[in-house]
Order: sequence, then C-alpha cells, then structure tokens
Amino acid sequence: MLKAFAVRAFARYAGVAVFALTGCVTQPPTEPSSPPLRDNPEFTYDASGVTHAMLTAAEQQVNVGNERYVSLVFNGDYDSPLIRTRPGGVMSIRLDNQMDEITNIHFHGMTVSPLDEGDNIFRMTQPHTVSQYDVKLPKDHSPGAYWYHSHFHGGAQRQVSAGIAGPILVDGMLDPFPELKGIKERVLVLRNFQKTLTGKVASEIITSAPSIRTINGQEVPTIDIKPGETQLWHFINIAANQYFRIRIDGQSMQILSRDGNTVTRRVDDDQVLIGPSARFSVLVVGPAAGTHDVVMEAANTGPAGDSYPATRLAILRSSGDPVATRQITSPYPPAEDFSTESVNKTRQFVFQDSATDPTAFLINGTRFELDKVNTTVKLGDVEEWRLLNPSQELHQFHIHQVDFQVTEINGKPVPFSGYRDNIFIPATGSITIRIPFRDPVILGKFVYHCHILEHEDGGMMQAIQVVRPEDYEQAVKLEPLGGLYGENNQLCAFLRNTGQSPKTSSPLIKPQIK
Amino acid sequence: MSNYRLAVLLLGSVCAAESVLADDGQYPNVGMDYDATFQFDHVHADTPQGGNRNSSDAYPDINSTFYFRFSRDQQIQLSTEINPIDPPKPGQKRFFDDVGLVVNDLNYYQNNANSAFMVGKYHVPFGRAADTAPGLYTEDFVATYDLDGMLGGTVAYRYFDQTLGMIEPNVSVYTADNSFLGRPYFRHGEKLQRSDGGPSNTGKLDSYALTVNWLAIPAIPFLEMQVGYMANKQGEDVPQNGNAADETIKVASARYIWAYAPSTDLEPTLAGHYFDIVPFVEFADVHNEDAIQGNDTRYLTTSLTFDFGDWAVGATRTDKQRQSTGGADHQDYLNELSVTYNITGQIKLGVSAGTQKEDGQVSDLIGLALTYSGGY
Repeated sequence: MLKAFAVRAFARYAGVAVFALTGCVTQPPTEPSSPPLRDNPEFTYDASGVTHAMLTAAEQQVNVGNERYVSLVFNGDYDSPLIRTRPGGVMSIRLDNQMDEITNIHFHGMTVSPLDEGDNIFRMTQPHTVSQYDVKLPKDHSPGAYWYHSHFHGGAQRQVSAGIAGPILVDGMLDPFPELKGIKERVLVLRNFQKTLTGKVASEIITSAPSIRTINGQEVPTIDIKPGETQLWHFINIAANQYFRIRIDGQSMQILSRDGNTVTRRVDDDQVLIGPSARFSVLVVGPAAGTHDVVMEAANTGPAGDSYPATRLAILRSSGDPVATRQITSPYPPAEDFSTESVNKTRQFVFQDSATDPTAFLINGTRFELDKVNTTVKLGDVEEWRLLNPSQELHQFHIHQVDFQVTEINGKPVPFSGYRDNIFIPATGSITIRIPFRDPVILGKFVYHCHILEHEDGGMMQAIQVVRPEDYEQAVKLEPLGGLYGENNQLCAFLRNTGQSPKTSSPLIKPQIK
Repeated sequence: MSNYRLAVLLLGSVCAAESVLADDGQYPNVGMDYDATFQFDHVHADTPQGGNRNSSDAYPDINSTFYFRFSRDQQIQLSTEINPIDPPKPGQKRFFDDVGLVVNDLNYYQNNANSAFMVGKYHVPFGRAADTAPGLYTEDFVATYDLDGMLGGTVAYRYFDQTLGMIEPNVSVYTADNSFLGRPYFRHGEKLQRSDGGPSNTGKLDSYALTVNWLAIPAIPFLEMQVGYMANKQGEDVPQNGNAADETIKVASARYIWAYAPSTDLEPTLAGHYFDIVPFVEFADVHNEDAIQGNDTRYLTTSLTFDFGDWAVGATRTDKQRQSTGGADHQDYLNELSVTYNITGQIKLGVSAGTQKEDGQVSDLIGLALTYSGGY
C-alpha cells in the first residue's frame, strides 16, 4: 500500500500539471473546421515570361490551420505564395528578410544555374536586408511541381517548419496530353506545424510531437469535385521532416508526375508516399456523390526514427451532375533510360547517424563543412551512386540542380518510369541511382543531402562542383579551399580560379545543348 | 527539498520555456532536451540467510541537458539527472523517496567535420552494453566499465575509407570527480572523497581509455564493432576492501542489424512493418575490479533484439565470472526479457522481467518504465 504522504504528493503533481497545461494553451479556433480549399496566393508571369515576386519574410502572428501562432512566414500568411512560371521563363524574386535571423532561398528540384543570383544556397541574406534572385529556366525545363525554401544550414529545419517555404508550378505538364486540356488543377501544399504551449513556433523541432497538418494552411478543408470529373492535384510536401502517406477513401490515383518529372508510363496506386521535399501530381476522378476522407496514414520511419499518428487531411466532396471522365490516350513523353548505358564513374556514400552524438549526422563519416567541396564531377558524365544507410531509420536523399534515375533499391532492380530529385534510402538498406550531369546550366557548386532537415542541419550534407572536363584537375586541387567557384559560388571566382579574364566570354553562359 | 517543491520546479521550467531559444541556427543560443521517466521496480530476493524479501521502488528519472551554443559545432552542455540517490534496502518499499539531483555532464563540446572533443565532466565512451543491450537493468550490471561523470577530456577522429568504412579511434583521459559537482543535491549524500579509494580516484588525470569503433564497412555495412582498453589508477588504500591495485579493462563487442525481407518500397517501413533482428555480444575482461587487487572478473553480455514497427522485444543475458572469490560462488548473472512500445513518438512504455544473481543473492526483477521525451 502506498504511504499517505506519497498519495498526497502525487495529487499535488497532478494538480500542478493540469494547471500548467490549461494555463498555457493557445488561442481558440478562429475558423470553421471544414472550409472550402482555398487557392494559393499567386505570382504569375507576364507576357515576356518573367515572374516578379516580392517575398517578405517576417515573424508575425498568423493562422495555422484553426489556431493562431507567432511564426516565421512569407507575406504575412502561413499559406505562402505560389510562384508560377514556365519553361524558358525567369523568376525575378526579391527576398526582403525582415526577420532577426539569417535566411536564403533554394529553388528545389529546378534544373537552373546554382551560381551568383541564381539557385545559390551559399549566398545568405542577413537580417533586415534584401536580396535579389534571378532564376532563368531553360526552355526545355521539365514542367511540374517544385518549391522554394530556406536552405540556411543549421536553421533550415526550423525556418521551413515555421513557414519559410512555398510552392512553385512550372506550367505545361498537360501539354503532351491534349485530351486532359481544361481539367481543374489544384495545388495542395502539405505542411506540418509543431504545436507548442507558448503560442510561438517551436525553437527546437521534434518531429514526433503533436502537430497541425494542413493543406494550403487549412485544417481539413473541403475539396469539391463532380462525380466522374478528372482533376489534376499537385501534392507538394514542404514539411521539414515528415513523410505523408496519403489515401483517398475508396479511390485510386493515377500518378502523372513525380518531383516535376512526368512519368514514362501509366502508374496507378491507391496511395501516394510523399517523402520530405517530394511532389506527386496525380489524376483524381470524382467518386459517386458523397463525402470521402483524404487521410494521412500513421507513419513510422524506423526504430531510430520518428512516428506520427494518422490524421484526416481533407474531405473530398463529390456532388452535382456526373461528367465524363477524361482518360490519357496520348503516348507518355519518352525519357532516356540510363540503366542501359555505361557510366563514367561509380561512387558510394554512406548516410549514417552518429553513434556518439544524437544531433550529428554523417555522410562518409563527415559532417558538412561550408568552405569545402567533397565531390567534383565532369560536365557530360553520367555517374552511378550507391547510397548506403546503416542507420535504423529512413534517410531522404536529395541532390540540387539535377534529376536522377533510381535503378536499384536493396539490390533489387527498379523498373524505369521516370526521374526523381529525392528518394528514400531504406533503413538498414541501400539504393542505387544514376545521375546525368549533362546540362551546362548546372555548372557550379551545389549540394546533396538528406532532406529530413533535422539531419541536414545536423551535418548530413556535402558540396559538389560540376566543372568542364578541362577544368577538372584544377577543380579537384581546389576542393579543400571551397572549389573552383569559390566560397560564395560565383562566376568571378570561377574566372579567377581558371585564369580567365572576366572580359572574355565564359563557357558557363553559352547556349545550352541537350 | 520536498517532492512538491521539486514538482513545482520542474513544471516551472517547462512553462518558462517561452524565453528559451534552442538551436535555430542563430548563435549564440541556448536550448534544452529532456526525458522524464516514471519507473517502478519490484525485486523479490531470496536472501542467503533464508526467507524472501520483497522490495519495491517507484521513482522519477528525469534527465535534462541544457546547451549554450556558440556555433553549430561548439557548445557548453550541462546534463542533470533527478532520481533516487541510493537503491532501496532489501524489503523496503518506496514511493518517490530519496530523490535528488546529480550533475552527469558539464563540459565544452566541439564536433568538427571529422573529429570531436570534449573537456570537463563527461561520460567516458567505453563499451556498448549499457546503452545497446535491451532492458532496464544491464546498465547497472556493467557499471564497472560504464563510467559516468568523470573529469577530464576525450577526443575522437572519424576516418572514412571507401573499402574499410568508418574507423573511429577515441582517447579519453580522466579522473574521478571529487569536486562539488560530484555530490547529490536536494538530498543526503556526500561527494566522493579521496579516502573512499577505488579506481581513478587519485585527483590526477592519470586514468585513460582507448576505443576504436569500426562501422559502415561497405561490404558488411550493418556490422558495428568496438575494441577498447581502459586503465584506471588505484585510489587510496581502504583496508576493509583489501589491497588497492590499478584496474584494467579490455572490451570487445559486435552488433549486427539484419533487416528482414528488405523491399523496394517505402510502404512497409512507413506502415510500421519494418522488422529487424539485432544480435549483440560484448566481452569485458577486468583485472582488479574496483581497484582491488586480485578481484579479476569477466563480463559477457549477449542480447537479441527484435524491432517491429513501434515494438521492440529483447532478451539479454550478462554473465559475470569472478576469477578469485575465496571459495564463494564464481558466477553472477542477469537474465532479462523486455518489451518496449512507442505509444507516440514521444512517449514510450517499457516492461522488463528477469532474474539476477549478484554476490550470492538470487532475485527476481520486474520493472516498468514510462518515458516522455522532449526539448525546448
């Protein structure tokens, strides 16, 4: 039997705990529980193909689903603006950093220049300063869903989780399929926001903590469709760390594109598994009249990883007169199958949790160093990379500027159905990919890393430089000093390091060949 | 300090978290991680004198680490633990009794691209059974070579080769803590005195440990190995303990993670169907244990863990063989079966049952631990 004083002490604990919890709750809901899915605020391109956008990053109070939180957001809204562009277009973006902290922007998945004012994650925007990004898309850039986000090493997880991230859509995905012309397109931005007792964004992100999962900043919005209607949904996972395992009650989905790459053959599934940073564009057909749940199933990333519960993300409301279902009848656009080709180089990378420090994450035994290049690649090469994961949790590989083809997972061949720019590495498993470093627009320095941003901030990232074959030897020598493109990844550093005069025409800006 | 005041302090620290900034990439900053466990142990002992004695202990075990970070790579860390200072006596029943606070770590830590070092009060990285074997009680059973709260420094270097994988040598130099950091707070208990004797209790940095971890070997990437050597200088003679002598420990361990039926799909893992089997074995050869001349022992820990989604089921056996006992029994052991379930990503329930023989006394053990982990 318990001693009397111990029972009293226990009652005191409970009383104090209840008081503490009730005294710290956040403000009450401000929205109805199931509003119609709203369209994202949008910046689109003008007649010349230029999208001008001003992104103002600031700390302020916003609606996160049905609750109010002080967070870090763009343009005063947890639902960040959609930047719409097209192949051959330009994104001209001013980043007005009104936060008290450093940030920057990465244009995730886009095959664009990593140099200078392009998709240069080595360039930082200091607090209360403004930066300009001019990102030019090649004319043959793959249409589809992309996103932009903070890539500030050390703070990326928190900033992305807070709201410093948003969607990009490159128009033209339906062009190869005229039979789908005019169907309703929806951008569904998937996010996860950690609940706190303080009413402010968490300063230390705990992926398994109770959280608010939203689509376009809304909790459980209603998505309208007619019976038989075909809609194109772009799922864009811009959460810092979370996997989304999405099902539509009783419905299968036809996957049209992954990570902005149109698939090469028909792919159907009754769920989509969307890793951190991944995008899936799917065709959804309106079911019989009624409501159907869009759910995120519970997920577990391994014994050493995270787990989070299932939740209802949205309600699909099918109503109105039935309409004819659109089917793809045109051939899928072809893509080169690299698994049948010879490779120029094979490399191996071990993505590993540190055995001694739970906050440290390693690639080939190394934590990220900002002023060093780890890998040098010749422009034009196709390389095979084998990625090993000895950890008891998933890692999510991503490389900037290029897409790749997954050829094997755990030693088993993967049938070719299109490219990716991120892929899971199985817990205690391996994956093999082939990467074409062929497009001259990617010349420069960029990174590959785990896109579970907790791991990236913890050091699971390395720098890569892509150079012309004639510059390869010099570039390798400069690896410990930040590489051929210098510490800040600039064209002028390249010219200095290759001995060229800045006045001479640079091969970096020659027309692209594909 | 009363239990009530302790609770107020803890909850107060939680509610005060608004003013605390953790690692947001802006430096300097401060942060905090913690885990709070409620544990209940029940021990049924067959005493050598005959008769059974049941003891039980319900207690908190709250570990908090506070960080003051200068950069991504450099920080001062302070780790404290709130739990009972002494184990219950045979036959004793306790509920939140004898709870005090001890400082486990107070050090400067720097983790570079390929190296890491730590100076101050720290846990000596030596042996793996205490952290790796499943269950609640192995850590105590192998405490001889799982050294917490030592004063000194440790440095590690990570060497990676495409064929050999990662080889990580580590050197630690230390002495036992006789300072004010070595005493319990809010409860009775004295700091370790030099006159208490024992290993490393010399007041000088004259004990050391060397380990080499070998991990991520590309040909067998899921094998982890460690070898180590530890030399602990003898403290002052304590006549009732016998003659003092330097303690040395050699350790070797291997762990393998075998993921059953790996697939090409993400679905099984996310759906909680990831399944692996993890055998682990560690051997430690101790010369002059507790710095007592002739007190030679050998430890052999073997364990098997089955991980399946949110569940982990483990079986552990540790044998402790005494080389010289003056006619007494040579063999101690700990058998333990355990089940852990992740109720949520932050709340974990562990149940463990086993038998133990220590110093001739056989006991049945059963324990339950409910742990909440978080950070600010």
